[in-house]
Order: sequence, then C-alpha cells, then structure tokens
Amino acid sequence: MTARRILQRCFSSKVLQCARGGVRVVNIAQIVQKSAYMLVARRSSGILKPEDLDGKKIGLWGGEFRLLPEAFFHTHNISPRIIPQGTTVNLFLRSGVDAASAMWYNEYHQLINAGLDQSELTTFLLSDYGMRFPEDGIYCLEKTCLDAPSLCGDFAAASVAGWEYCFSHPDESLDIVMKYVHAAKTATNRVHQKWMLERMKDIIRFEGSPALGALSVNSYMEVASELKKGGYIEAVPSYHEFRFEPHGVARP
Amino acid sequence: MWPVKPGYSTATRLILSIGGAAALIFISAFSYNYLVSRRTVIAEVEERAKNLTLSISHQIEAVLRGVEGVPKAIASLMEIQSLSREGLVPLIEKSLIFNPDIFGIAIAHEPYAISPELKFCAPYGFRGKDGIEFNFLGTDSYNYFILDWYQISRETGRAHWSNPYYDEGGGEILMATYSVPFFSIRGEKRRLMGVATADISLEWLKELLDGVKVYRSGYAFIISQNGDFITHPADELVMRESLFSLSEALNDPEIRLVGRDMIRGEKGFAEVKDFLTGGNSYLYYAPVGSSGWSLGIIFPASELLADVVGLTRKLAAIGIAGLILMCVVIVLLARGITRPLRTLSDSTAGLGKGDFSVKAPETGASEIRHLARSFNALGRQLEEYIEKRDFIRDTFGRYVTAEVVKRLMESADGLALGGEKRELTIMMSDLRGFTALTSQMEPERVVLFLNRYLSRMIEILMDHRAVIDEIIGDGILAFFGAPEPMEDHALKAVSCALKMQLAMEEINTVNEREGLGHLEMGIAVNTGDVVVGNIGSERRTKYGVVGAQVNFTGRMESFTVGGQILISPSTFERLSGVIEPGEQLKVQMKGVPAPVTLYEVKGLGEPYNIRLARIDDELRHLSSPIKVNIYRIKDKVVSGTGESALVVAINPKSATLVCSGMLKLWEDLRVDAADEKDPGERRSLFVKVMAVKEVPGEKQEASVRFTWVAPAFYKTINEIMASQ
Repeated sequence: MTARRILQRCFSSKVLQCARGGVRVVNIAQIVQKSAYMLVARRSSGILKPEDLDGKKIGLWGGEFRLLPEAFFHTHNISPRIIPQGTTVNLFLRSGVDAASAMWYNEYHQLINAGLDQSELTTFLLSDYGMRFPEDGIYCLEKTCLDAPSLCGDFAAASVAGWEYCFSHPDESLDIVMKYVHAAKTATNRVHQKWMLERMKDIIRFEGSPALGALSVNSYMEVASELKKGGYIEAVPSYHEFRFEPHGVARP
Repeated sequence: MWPVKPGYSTATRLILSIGGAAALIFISAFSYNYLVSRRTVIAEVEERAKNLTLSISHQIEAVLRGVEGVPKAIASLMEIQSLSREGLVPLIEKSLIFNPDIFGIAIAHEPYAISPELKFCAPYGFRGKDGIEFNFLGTDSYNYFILDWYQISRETGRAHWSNPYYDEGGGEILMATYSVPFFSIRGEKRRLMGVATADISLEWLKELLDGVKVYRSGYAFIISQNGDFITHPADELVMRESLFSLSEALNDPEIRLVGRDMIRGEKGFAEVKDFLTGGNSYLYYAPVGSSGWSLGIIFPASELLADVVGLTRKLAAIGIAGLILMCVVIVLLARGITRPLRTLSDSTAGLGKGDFSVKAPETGASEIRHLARSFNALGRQLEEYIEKRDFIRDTFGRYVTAEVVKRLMESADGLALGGEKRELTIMMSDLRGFTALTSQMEPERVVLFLNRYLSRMIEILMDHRAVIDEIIGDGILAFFGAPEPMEDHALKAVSCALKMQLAMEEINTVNEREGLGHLEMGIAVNTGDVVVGNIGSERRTKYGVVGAQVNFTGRMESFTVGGQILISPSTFERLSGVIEPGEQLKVQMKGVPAPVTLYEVKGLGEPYNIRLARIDDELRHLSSPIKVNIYRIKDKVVSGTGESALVVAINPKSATLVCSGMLKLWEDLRVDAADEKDPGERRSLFVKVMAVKEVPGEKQEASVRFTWVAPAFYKTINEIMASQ
C-alpha cells in the first residue's frame, strides 16, 4: 500500500474504495477539519481515563476506521479486546462491550437518545488527544480534474456554499432532512438531526479552522508524519500530489 | 352634608368581613373537597392503570413467551445434537409450521463452526409469498456476526429480544427478533456455537394497543429497551422518536426521567405532559415481561378529573351564587340599617343649620329606633334650650354676666320673670357736664370717650352682679338683687358705686393725657320695693325695674356732685356701721312732701376697706373774689342773659356766690368766669343751688354745689386750693 493510499484512507473511506479499484483520486475540497471519532464507556464500568481501556472489550468499526483508535491505543500503550462493531450502538447498550466507537455527531447522541446521561459516560474524543485528523472531504478522479478543472472547481465551490447555507439556515436544513426522513421511514428524529448539524459545524468550522473546503498544509503534514511515525507509511507524499486545487476553492 | 372622612360604608365593611369570611370558609371546604376527590380519583385511576397494564402486559407476554420457546428449543437441540447445514432446514421448516406466530427462524453459526471451509452458516426460513422459503445468510456484505441479533447474544451469552426494526423486504412491517445463543459444552468448557433466532411481526402489538381505550383521548404505548416507541397512536413517533428525543425536543426533563425509569424495567405512576398535546396527563408504566420493553398508559388529567372538575365547577357556581346572594342580603340589610342613620344624618345637618323641628323617623332596628328617639329628644331639648337662652339674652341684654345667664338657664324658676314686687337696690350714675363737654368734640372722640368710660363701668357693675337696666348716653341705671336673689344688694350696690368712683380717677388720667377733659360722676344709691320684670312689647322685652323708688333715685342723683355717692335713708339704714359717711344733705325733692336726708358715702369699713380719695373740701375764702356771670338752666336749657356775680369762697366741690338776683333753692345754673379771654377755654361751672340767704346790700349769698367743672376752671380751683 502506498503512503498516498494510506493517507487517503485516513481521510475518507470513499477514497479507499476508489483506490481499491486502482484509480487515482485527488482531494478537491476538505470539509471536516477535525475528527469526530470518540470512544465511549460507562463510568460505572470504571473506565475514566485512556489507560482504563486496557484489556477491555472495545467495539471498533472495521477497516480504515480502525487507524485512528489504533493510533490512540498505541499512544497510550493500551491493548484492548477489539470487538467488531456494527452499525448500531445496541451492543454497547446491552453491555456486550465495555466501550464502543461513536461519532460525536451521531452515535454519541444515539446513546444519549437511548436514555444514557452524559454524566454517566466517559468519552474520549480523539481530537482532544492530539488526533486532529481532517476527515471527510470531496475527492475526484485525478483524470476528471485534469480534464475539466473548472467543473470540479464549481462542484467543490457549490458543496462549500451548500454547507455555508446549512449553517446559516439550520431550521430550513432540518426541515429538508426531516422531509426525506419521513419519506424513507428512517429511524431518526429531528432532535438527532439537529445535534448532527450542530456537531458537524463544530468539526467543519471552528475557531482556528481552515476556510471551508481548504486543506491545511500543516494538517496534512501533521497527519502524514503521524502515520509515518506510527509505521503506517514509509514516505510522505507531497501536498500537491494529494490535493488538487481547482479554481474557486479557498486556499489555505 | 358634613364632610365625611374617607372610609368604607357599612355594607362594604359587612361584605368585606362577613363575605370575606364566608368566602374563605367556602374556598377552604371547596379546596379540601377538590383535593380529596382528586386524590381519590387518582388513586382509583392508578389502580385501574395497574390492572390494565398488567392485563395488556400478560397478553403480550403470552405471545412473546410462545415465540421465545421456539429458538430456545432449537438452541437446546443444537447443544445436544450437531446437525449438518442441510439438516437444519427441516428443523426450521417444522418449527415454522407449528408456530404460525413466527415469521422467520434462523440458526446462525460461528465462523467455521460447522466446517473449516464454511465461514458463514446461517440457514434462514421465513414465510414468503409462496409458503416457507429459505435463504442462507452470510456474505461479505451481509456479515451477520456484527448484526445485533447475533452479536448481542454472542457477546453477552444471553438470550435477548432485539430492538424492533422494519423488515428488510418492504420496510413496512415492524419486526423483532428473539435470539438465543447455543454452546458446545465439553465438560466445564462452554464455547459459543451460534445463535438461534425467531422473528415476529409486531403488527398485532399495534392492533392490541390501539384497542386499548382510556377515557376519550387516553392511550397505551410501548417503548423498546432504547426508549424508542414500538407502538404509539401517532405513527410518526414509532421507531423514530424515543422518550429521550421527545424530552429534548419538548424541553421537558420529566419525560427523560420517566423514560429512564421505564427502560430500567421499573413500574411507576407519574404526572407528565402528553407527548403530543402537551396536556396534563398521568402516566402509568410497567415492564412487558422479559422483552425489556415497557408499557405506558396515558390518562389525560382533564378527562380523568372531568367528574371532579365538573362537580367542583358546580360547587363553585353554587358557592359563588351563594356568596352573591349573601352580599345582596348584606347590602339590603345594611341599607335597612343605614337608611334611618342617613335620615338621621340629614336631620342632624338640619339641626346644625338651626332647624330644630326636624324629626328622625323612629323606625328600623331597636338600636336605630332608640337613637332616633334620643335624637328627637335632643332636638326638642335644644329647641327649648335655645328658646330659653334667646329669651334670657333678649331680656337681659348684654348687661348681665355670663354667670348670671348660666345660673338662670340652669335654675328651674329662673325664668319666672313675670313682674314681681321685690326689694332691690337701685343705682343711678351720671357724668357731670358731659353734654357740655362733648358738644364741641368730634363725634369719634365722643364715642371713644364714652366707650372708655362705659366699658369700665359696665365691667365693674358686672363684677358686682348688677343688672344694667338702661344706659342713656353717659347715664346708667342699674339694680342689684334681681333676677336672682341677693341678700346684700345694698352693700353690693354701695361697694360697686365706690369702685366706680375710684375707676373714674384712672379714666380721667387717660382722658386728660389725651386732652379729653376732666369728668366727674355722681352716683345715687337707693333701696326700696320696686316692680321688677320683663318690660316691653313682644318684639322687644327687657328685664327692668319700674316704680316710685326708681324715680326717687333719679332725683337723688341730681343732687350729687362730681365724685360723690349719695345714698338714701333706706340704704343707709341697711349699711349703718359699715359705711364711712360723709356729709348729710337735707334736700327737698320734687313730688316728695317732706325733706329727705341724703347721706354721702366716703367708703366702706372693715372688712371691705374701700375708700374714696380724701379731698380737701374746706372752703377757701377768696380775698379777691372771682367775677362771674350766671345763667339759669331750666329743663337742661341755659336761658337768660348772664347776671354778674362774685365767687367769694370755693373748694373743689362747691362755692359761695354773691349776686344780686333772686336765686332759688335747688336751681341749676351755669357759672362762667367773667374775665374770659380765650373763648375756646371757657372757665365754666355747672352748679346746683343748695342754700340761699340774704346778705346786706340786697344781695344774696348762695351755696352752690358743682355738678360740672370745666377743665380750665378746675385748674383755677386747684391753684386756689394749693395756694391757701
């Protein structure tokens, strides 16, 4: 696996899927600027600090989602029992695991919405532990970028504008989301969607975050060197190899 | 009307006090009734809810138990006997046939548990369109090892009901799966082999709960282990909202507390706001068997308490109507009481304006009648009193002391003032030469002069309890001994006369300082029977005296000279031993046949000790007589031309004249000094002839008493008296 692929895996699972097909993709807009990944445990289980996770059953999502928590375990010198985690938090709710993976904007609130109080939970938001890895971004076939740079640029700019609009019109955004929730009978509710939007804002645009859509060279280098240090990659690809700058996207 | 201090009327006071107290009692009883009824109803409802919940719970549990039995049995079988992948299918098929409630059954194995080549082994039979169909679960994209139905039982080692979910097919049917793990047991060692499951549709659950009717709008619902609604009359809540998301959405922490209680499998009864309407409700909840679900029943408070509220409203209406009626009665009663009072008040106002004829109606409550009677009596008494007072004031004028008036008012017979004959002492006083003195004065000065004199005299008279019969100019007629009896009226009169004479000195001092001239007063005091009573007409009455003795006193007075007090023999008789007599004067009075002796009073001895100032009254014979002209006075009119005469001897009170004319005894004269230079300061005397005798040379020598001395002449006399 090349360093570039590993990096791309760090940033997005979609990138991985593309990469699997041997297709070269480039980042054209970085949306999530820091990781929302967290590990959640019941305080009652005696887990209060990272070291308490040692030897415990921890639910982890599969594949590329494991990189971040594994780096976290490595940093804190923890060897937990890893249990593959599905798409629900029910295993944790039924005490099938001592700790579970959760996205701050989604699963964490599902736990709250299933009757667990925040005060009952110990949370390890990995970005608080130095793992400020940017997450979801928009990737594009390198070929497409080269063939139609302005189209890609417009696409990225429109996506960024869409997020901006959501943040400035949260109620309207929720109305739209809930319309589709009702149509699809999705098991979610407005309160949860509201939480998601607010948390997305927290990880997309926060104090000191790069402009929406931009990928900070520093963040990139930080992640890359972290991965290199952890032995996941051997060499750091250049920023420009990773990131395509179509016109219209804010630069760092 | 008189200004009334701001305050509440009787009716208002009564309403505030009685009405307030009644309202308080009513509200207390009412609240108590409401609270007790409410408590009773709620207790009944709680009992009813408990039974209802139990009944529903049992029904559900019966179904679930039946379903649970199948995978349990399969799991037991799997632990005893290992079956091949193909051998599992008929087991599933048979189980489905015998258990029509079950939609599908799976027997899922651990990876490579059946054979080292087979990672996934999970035959799944279910009711398809054409009867029972089979499927073998487990592919790279359907990794059942991480699905709840498998993984939870795997990781916990326990059987469990899954959180309900919509079926994979149409997504329309709500399903739940019961999972039972099975193990290979080798001695002490238990190793998980797989999980047997049974899926059921939960549509019957919805129907069951929709059939539960609680009052009009109450309902039952079930939540899952996660607090998600499995059933609720509002479809939009089902599998989308949990009690916790509702709590957050409605910002009602109470719902969250109840929800936590429910998913812990507790039973309870709580007051909550309805999730949809927000109306006050009661929620009873209890766990549903071993499913981990919880059943809740909502009782809308308004309907639950409808009877209590209805009864309470009726009671309140009756109570309020009663209170209003009571207030009306109070107002009417208060008006009944206060109307006579108001009339009384109006009458009192009339009384205040002097209309004593007003009458308060003697009606109403006994106290009010009593008050009105007292008021009417007061009016009558006031009327009588005022009548009496007016009469006394009119009769006695201003010349009776307030003390006398008071005594007269108080005494029952004080007003028996019809004429009566009584022995009194009469006093008459006059200023000598007042008319002459004032004839040339400004009217204002006359009044000033007269008022100063009279006010002092009246004051002294009042002090001696005299009744002033009349004041004419400078003359005063007063009497002592009536209307109230007075033992020592003679003594009082003389004492009064002395005080009056002494007061003249003060008056003269002031008068002379102001250039008003020197004045002297003569006083006559006489005791005798007179008629005393109210004299006059209807329109003007005065309490006065009439009779010969009054006239007699008047005549006596004309014999007095300035500064002198003369008393009659009858007065003298009564005071012998007390008075300090001066000269005696034998006079002949008009209308009195015999000569009368008048006694001059100089003072009163012990214990009164009042004395007139001693005056040097020795006659001074003049070596050079004063030439004068004399004029006769007839009926107070100076007549005739002046006749020459000489004053040969003089003292402050009298003189001896020598003249050629025929002077008559008791004749009044005016004597003017002949060598008058300044007509503005005429030296005049008014005199009365007291004795006449013939002297050689066809002349007459007359003793005269001064009745008035002009200030200028007074000066002359003083000079003479001083020089010799």
